[in-house]
Amino acid sequence: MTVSLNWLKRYVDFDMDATELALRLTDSLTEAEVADAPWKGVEGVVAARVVTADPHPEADKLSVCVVDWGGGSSTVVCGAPNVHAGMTSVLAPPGSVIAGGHRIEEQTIRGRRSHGMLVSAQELGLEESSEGIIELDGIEPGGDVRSLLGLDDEIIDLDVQPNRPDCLGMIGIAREVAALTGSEFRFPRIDLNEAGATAAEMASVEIEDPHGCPRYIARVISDVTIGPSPAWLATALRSVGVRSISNIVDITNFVMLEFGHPIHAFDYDRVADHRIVVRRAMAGEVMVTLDDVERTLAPEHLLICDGSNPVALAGVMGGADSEVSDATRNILLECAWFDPLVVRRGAWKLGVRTEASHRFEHGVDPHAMEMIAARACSLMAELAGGTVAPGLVDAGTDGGATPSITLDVRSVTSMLGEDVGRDETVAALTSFGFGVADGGDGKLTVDVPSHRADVTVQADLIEEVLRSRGYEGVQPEVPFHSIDAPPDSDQATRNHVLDAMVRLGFYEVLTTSFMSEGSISQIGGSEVWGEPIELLNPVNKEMPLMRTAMMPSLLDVVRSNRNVGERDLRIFELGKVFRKDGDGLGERWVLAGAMTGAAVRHSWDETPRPVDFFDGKGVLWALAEALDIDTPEEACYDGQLLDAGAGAGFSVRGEGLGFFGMLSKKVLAAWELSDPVFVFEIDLEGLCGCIPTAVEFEELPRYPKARRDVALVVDERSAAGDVLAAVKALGEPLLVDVQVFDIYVGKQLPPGKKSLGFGLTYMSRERTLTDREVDDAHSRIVSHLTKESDAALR
Amino acid sequence: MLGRLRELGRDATAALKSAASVVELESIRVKYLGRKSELNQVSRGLKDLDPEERRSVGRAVNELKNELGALLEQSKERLESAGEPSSGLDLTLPGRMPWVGKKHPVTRTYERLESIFGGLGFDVALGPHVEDDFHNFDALNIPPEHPARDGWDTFYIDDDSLLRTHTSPVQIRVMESRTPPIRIIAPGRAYRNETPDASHGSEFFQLEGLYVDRGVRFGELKGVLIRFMRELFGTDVGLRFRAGFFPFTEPSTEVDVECQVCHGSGCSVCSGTGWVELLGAGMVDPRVFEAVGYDPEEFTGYAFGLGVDRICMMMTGTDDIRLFLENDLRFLRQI
Ligand SMILES: [Zn+2]
Repeated sequence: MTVSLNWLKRYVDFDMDATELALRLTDSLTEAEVADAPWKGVEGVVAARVVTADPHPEADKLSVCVVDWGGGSSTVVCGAPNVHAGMTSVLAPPGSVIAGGHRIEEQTIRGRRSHGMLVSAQELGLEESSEGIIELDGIEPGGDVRSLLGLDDEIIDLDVQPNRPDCLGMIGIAREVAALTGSEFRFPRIDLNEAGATAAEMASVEIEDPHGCPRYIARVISDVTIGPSPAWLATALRSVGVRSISNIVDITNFVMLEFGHPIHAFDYDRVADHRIVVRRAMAGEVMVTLDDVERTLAPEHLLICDGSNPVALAGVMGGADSEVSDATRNILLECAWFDPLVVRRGAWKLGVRTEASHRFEHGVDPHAMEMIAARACSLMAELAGGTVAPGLVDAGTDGGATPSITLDVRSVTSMLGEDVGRDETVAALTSFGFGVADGGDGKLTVDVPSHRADVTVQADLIEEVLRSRGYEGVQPEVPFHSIDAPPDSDQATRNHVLDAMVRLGFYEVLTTSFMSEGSISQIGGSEVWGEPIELLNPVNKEMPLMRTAMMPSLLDVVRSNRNVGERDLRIFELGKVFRKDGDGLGERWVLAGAMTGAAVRHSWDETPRPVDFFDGKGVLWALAEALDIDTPEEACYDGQLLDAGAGAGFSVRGEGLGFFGMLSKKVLAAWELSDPVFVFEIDLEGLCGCIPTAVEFEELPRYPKARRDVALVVDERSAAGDVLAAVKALGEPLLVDVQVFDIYVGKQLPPGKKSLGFGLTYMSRERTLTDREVDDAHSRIVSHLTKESDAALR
Repeated sequence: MLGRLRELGRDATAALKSAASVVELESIRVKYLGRKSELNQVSRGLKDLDPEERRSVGRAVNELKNELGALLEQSKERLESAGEPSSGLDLTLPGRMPWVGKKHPVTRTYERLESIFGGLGFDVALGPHVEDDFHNFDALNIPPEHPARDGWDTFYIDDDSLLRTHTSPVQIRVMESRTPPIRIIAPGRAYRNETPDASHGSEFFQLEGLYVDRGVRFGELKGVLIRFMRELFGTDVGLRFRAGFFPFTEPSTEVDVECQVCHGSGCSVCSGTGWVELLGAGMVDPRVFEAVGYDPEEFTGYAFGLGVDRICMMMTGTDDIRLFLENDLRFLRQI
């Protein structure tokens, strides 16, 4: 809401400049900022009478004028079409400053010396565009135009919150300013001078949809003269960015901005039968609104109709047919209460939003309608010479009495502090216009004024007391009571995983939760990843899906970093993926990562090789170790994401939790990557479930270990893991560890064979083993391996 | 004589301290403490002195011997622990560094906030990102089609499902499943259907707080938030509580912190006001308590919410919120 300080001063006196007032409003109402008025900096302009205006001998469209500016007269060259002898306008003499900081200098225009210029409203920053110079009334040459044109006005932008529709009008804001500064609020003067036939004799109103329009007031003003508005009215409207059009239209805008309640003026003689019918539109019904757009309507739309046709879209916009024109003689004035939702839906359906619909959507005060209508009539009588028909046509209801709330003063004290007592509470509420009476037993009965429909419960009243006191006025306190809360072990465990990944040298990234159809189909689509959840209204049309996998967004990060020269990457994300889960919508925590570039950091004595499968697998196994998880196992993998020969499933204790391996050529190509990339994606909830919650102490071994090695020649395609599994399966009690320490393929072996070197560690918890005991255990294992498989000792 | 002893002491001390090897140390020992050393000769000649002088010189000799003996031991330890120097290493060459990882700046900001609020007795609670209308809006006193909803541009999935527009629905879920007293913070992602620009993301990071108990006062809300902000920005940071509007709190307040870029004098970050809006807060609206089945006569409480990515921006001087989801390593390394 744009607030003019000059306009505000019509209703309240205050001794603050815009900056101070904005601060006060910000503290206690809502955010207010001083706006840079376009006329700021205008200086030295004066009223001047055009004495003569003769055509410029050298130029068709220019005039050479002699102007009287009070202290003397000057010659100026003027290009405005409306310049004429006898008019009073505004002169910017040499040395004065107009909008945009332009300083006026004497100059010669087509051979004639111009001592300054006559200016338009646009040139003073009062209008966005003007056709011609300002024409003034009732001011002598040399008179001060600053206050007349509002050049001394200051502007505040007020961020009005949805609960305070009263502040969508100057009067609502003036009431706040009065209460917050301790000044008096003055109501505008209303002077009707009613005469002639009554409104009820001249017009009728029928409400067919009392839900959409609970109350409708019509008044009639006869014999108006349509003409320009007086300077004060045009200035007031211009100060808040509204163009002056004609006296009647300006009055409806002025009263709307004054009370925050839109009103509408119909040309009485173009309202058929002088009859107003409020009803819903029929499907397909058509009307032309005053912006000359033909609109096709639906039953959502509430219409104001005359005896035969729609004349306005209720609460949104008037119709072209009944619009006030220069020929208008009599006015039918509407002041109505429309249902906020009906207006909202109707406007939304047409895709329009007007100053009027905005205010009706937020809610208007049905109890103020008579006064608002009267205020408009009074201005039309005064400024357009009309005669107000006595009385009004009032259909519907004002919604009944405004509520009373019982306020327990103790609850004010207990919420705001010991020092806020009864007196302060009463004073605060009274200043904001609430009626306060004693309710007995430490309570108050508070009558809510009709313009404060946002106040419905005790908490709302406590806020009023707080606003009056100022938020800074409450003493901060930090009491401490211990509260038992259920432990959130999940979050702690996830943080544990996060820490472990960072210790393993990975950068954490946070990527978008959205993905495109194309990117997920590159890695298997919904067959592999599940049915994605789709947004009805994505912000990026390319990415309408919630991610079912992290891989696409992680690979995007790899690519974008590669494109800026970052080739050595170790990144991971710990976040959520989403998928349809039967009829429901499911979300799960996932850990995913990618590694590419050098396997170790570059150094002066080594050129590192690129990351391979075992670098990545080592990271995952180290992660398991850091998390005290039993050794994970590799499982089958048959997706398209990973290279068929270097990809595996990831499982712990037989439960499949994800996958890891090198990206397949196809996926590398899809993301335009050339270096090998190791990736993994693991169900975090499953992984966290494998982390032991408690670890039990085991006595430290007291006896030494002994190691024996064995080299076995096996088929080239045999898996080392199978041999390890076979060794473990024997259950040799003295064997505590077995590791692969060497692989050899070469000339010293028969073709198709490889040699695997294993190191076996033996130990007893009861005694120091003799060499013989160790040798016996070792040969039991070796002979089993050579007997039961085709392995041979090397 | 005493003067000569002091001189000897000075020389011996300097020699012991600068000895570069155990071998050198041994020759120093022989020179100053050995059988033929000057000190030993003085010691042997004591008997020829008169009694007065014998006493004073004798004491000085003993003190010096003890002192040098102790220093000799120290020097020996020093040299033995250092070992013999290797030769030929260019110590200025860089070492072989392991990879070093880092948490995302937003995660680190969350950790900081969680630790501060943890110290104030708040526990972490989480909720789903895919929410229903009831938890995201209705229960928070934001009725359907109310103009207040215009403040939340919502991503919809179907008639009832949406992406949470704030972390506030976690308040509702916690209150539904527990009885007061409750004191939680809810960190997490939230979503708004806005075209991202330098200061708005369509995905962003919030932290919500909620405390419900009997007799909770507005002053406690202020107290806790002041504590929090002083811990985050320093004890002398300027703070401002002013009027605010949120459908789910009454009274509501918005809290500004002194601009960390210009420290209050006004700059482009704070649009010249010297203040930056940091969080929104208020006393839980009784209508919210009704929605979760609490008796508003019995319980009061406060709630607050803040933008974690914004705090991270403010504390690091990052000027574009989109950088957080872009994950340019050059940015992540720097921040
Ligand atoms: Zn600043």
